[in-house]
Amino acid sequence: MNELEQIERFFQGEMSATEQASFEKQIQENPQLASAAAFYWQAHQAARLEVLAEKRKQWEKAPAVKPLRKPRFSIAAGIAAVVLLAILWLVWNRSQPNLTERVMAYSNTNFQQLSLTMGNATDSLQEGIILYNQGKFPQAEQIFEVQLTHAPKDARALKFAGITAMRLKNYDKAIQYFQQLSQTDLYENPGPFYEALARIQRNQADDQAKAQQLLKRVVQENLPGKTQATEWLD
Amino acid sequence: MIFFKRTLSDADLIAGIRAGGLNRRNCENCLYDQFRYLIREATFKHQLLPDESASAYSDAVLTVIEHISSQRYEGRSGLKTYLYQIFYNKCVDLVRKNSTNRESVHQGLSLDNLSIADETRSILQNLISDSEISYLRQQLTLLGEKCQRMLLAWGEGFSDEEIARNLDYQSSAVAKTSRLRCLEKLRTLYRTR
Repeated sequence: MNELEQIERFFQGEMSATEQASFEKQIQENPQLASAAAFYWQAHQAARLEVLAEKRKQWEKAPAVKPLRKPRFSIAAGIAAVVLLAILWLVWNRSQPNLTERVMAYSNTNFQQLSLTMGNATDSLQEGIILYNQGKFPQAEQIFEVQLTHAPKDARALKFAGITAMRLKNYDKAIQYFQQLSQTDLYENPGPFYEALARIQRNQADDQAKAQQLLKRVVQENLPGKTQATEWLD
Repeated sequence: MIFFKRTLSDADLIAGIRAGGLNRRNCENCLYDQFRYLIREATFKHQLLPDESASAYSDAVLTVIEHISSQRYEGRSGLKTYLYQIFYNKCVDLVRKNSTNRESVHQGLSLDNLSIADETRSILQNLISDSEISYLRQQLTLLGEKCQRMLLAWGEGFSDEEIARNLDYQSSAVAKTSRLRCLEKLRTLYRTR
């Protein structure tokens, strides 16, 4: 058994009482053995400190976990966050105009003027558009209605008549025109979207629900007004 | 898989540490994480620097791991209580050391824990010092990789049987012989100072 092995048995308490007493006596009398014992102890410490340094690096690299022993703080923080979110939601919700206001704003912006190119057809329709753009809505409506007596399924006449009726706040008539427009075989039919606008502004018993259905249809079928419908539905 | 949870029960941690291998590593990390808030508490309570607290905490965690591994921890108290007590002792030790410059007494292989005659203890205590330990740490890096891994495993508290298993030695006896040879090499380097 070599010296280091004996020293190890000594430090690990593996010696009998007699053997230990004898070994201790040797340490006290033999400086070289004492140095070897000190070396053994220090070497173990050095190795342990190396391991500890590596472990510390590894452990401290990991992000800290929130203290587990203070759940009250977590609960309080959670409640505070929920209350704050609720308040923010209410404030945000109140500051947001409702759907009717948004639709009114949309109509006022988008139907202020009709583009002449929108007519792109008979002279009477162009004349109606000019009157509309001058704010002469009743006269414009008259012209579009005359056109519809000649061609009841004229999609453009139906569209302009509906828009004009909407401007005149005659929503029943507007809805009627837009429903007829929806039944035409236009490739990009704005009928459902316009009908939804008219229903939201009329705001009768089941208008909101029907408008929602129409807007969903616009989104699903990728009809004109899809972008706006998506925003409003959200 | 228990390791996907951030918080493990005492039983899971102990079983994982004793199982060795990757399980041990994961459980060591969990143990450290689970009570790391103690670092901040100790910084305030004992007026230690954050780095000192963190160092004492790592040391305490490593000691607990060693005790679990060597069965010295018998489960009479919860792991948290056990760790807290060791950590507390290390913090008090640090406070004393800071104020009196006294050597630490709560190291892994403490002379205070040995049942030896006072005279022997005194002789050994006079021969050991922090500077010698630092020097030995430098010398450790000069050893071959295998020897370094062997001695670090020994420093971490692994038994020869565990070292044999982890470092692929035929038996614990072979691992022990190799470890003592590595220690002898370190002593040779140390003597050439």
